[in-house]
Amino acid sequence: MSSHRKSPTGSAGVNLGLIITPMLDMSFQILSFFIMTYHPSALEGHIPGSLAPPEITATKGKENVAADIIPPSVPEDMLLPEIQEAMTVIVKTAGAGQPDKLLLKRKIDPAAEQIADANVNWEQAKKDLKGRLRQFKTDSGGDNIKIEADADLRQEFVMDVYDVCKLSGFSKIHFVPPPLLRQAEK
Amino acid sequence: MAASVGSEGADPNLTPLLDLVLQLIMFFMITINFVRVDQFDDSIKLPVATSAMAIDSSAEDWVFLNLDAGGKLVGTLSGFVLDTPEKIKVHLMQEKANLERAARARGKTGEAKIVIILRADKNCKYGDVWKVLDSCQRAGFKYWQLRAMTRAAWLRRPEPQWLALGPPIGRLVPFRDDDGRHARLLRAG
Repeated sequence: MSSHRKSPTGSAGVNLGLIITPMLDMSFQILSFFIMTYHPSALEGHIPGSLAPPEITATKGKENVAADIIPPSVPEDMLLPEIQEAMTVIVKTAGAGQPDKLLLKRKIDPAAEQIADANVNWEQAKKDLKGRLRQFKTDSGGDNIKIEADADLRQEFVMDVYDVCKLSGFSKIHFVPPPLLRQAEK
Repeated sequence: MAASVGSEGADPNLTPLLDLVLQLIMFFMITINFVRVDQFDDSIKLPVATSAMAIDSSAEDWVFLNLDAGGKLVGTLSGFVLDTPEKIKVHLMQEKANLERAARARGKTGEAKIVIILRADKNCKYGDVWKVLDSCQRAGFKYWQLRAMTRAAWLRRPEPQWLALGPPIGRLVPFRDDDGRHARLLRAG
């Protein structure tokens, strides 16, 4: 870096010492600019997804995306077999956007299996769900899983369920339309 | 900044200060991330998703959608009346056509990869998120990204975790309680 040089004492003539004051002033101005415009947006992450049209959804394979949506206009039997067979995590809400019950359902099951009462302890419900999904993943494998949440459920709880599915080893997560919207579509 | 107190006074040595300031400037220059403020709405509180990945900027262009807690599109779209899925779809179709035209003008041949970036508030309803995504799909978009906050390791507060000392020949056992947040004493046999 620059240094503040002093001319030899006692000698007459021009002082050639480097004046760093303007440089320091400018540095502070630049520093102030960067501090004021600093935005820690690196904390924001993304979940990639596919919005492929229904005909592609139903016939062709999917790209390697983490999440996609299954449009209500596509009948269940037109989906890829692995998506049809995939387990569905159902999140029921009690009101005010809070989760009430966590259920699991496969195509072969006559009724959904209740995993936890999410209204009592959401953290415990997530743990129970994770344990059950890991067990299912170990037993039957597969990368696909569907999430079906009530329309009133708050987005943060949907993301919690997404996280649990992802951490349980499922790489392809499909969002199913909320039951009310699906009925309206039909 | 520099003060000179007469010919006999001592000049403060500003070199370390200047070095420090320049280092700080370098830090901010490296880490700064210029964002288009019109794409982000600070009122949106994103949900946390530990599995969210680092932001991918490989797309040709983006359409930012900020969905507030009430299920309303805000930000650049707040000036439009987009209260029905059909209106959202029509608006997005126009947006897509404009972006594709701009991509062709830039010399892009073939299909341009335009990504919908949905920044949905953590308190908005899943039904509202679904309606927006459904409108995007009907408008002909093929890619979307859901934005969420990642828990950066350097910001994650360490969860309280205690070490319980058991009997003299016991073990040191780290433990947490059932919900993984608070600690309670436990003896290891």
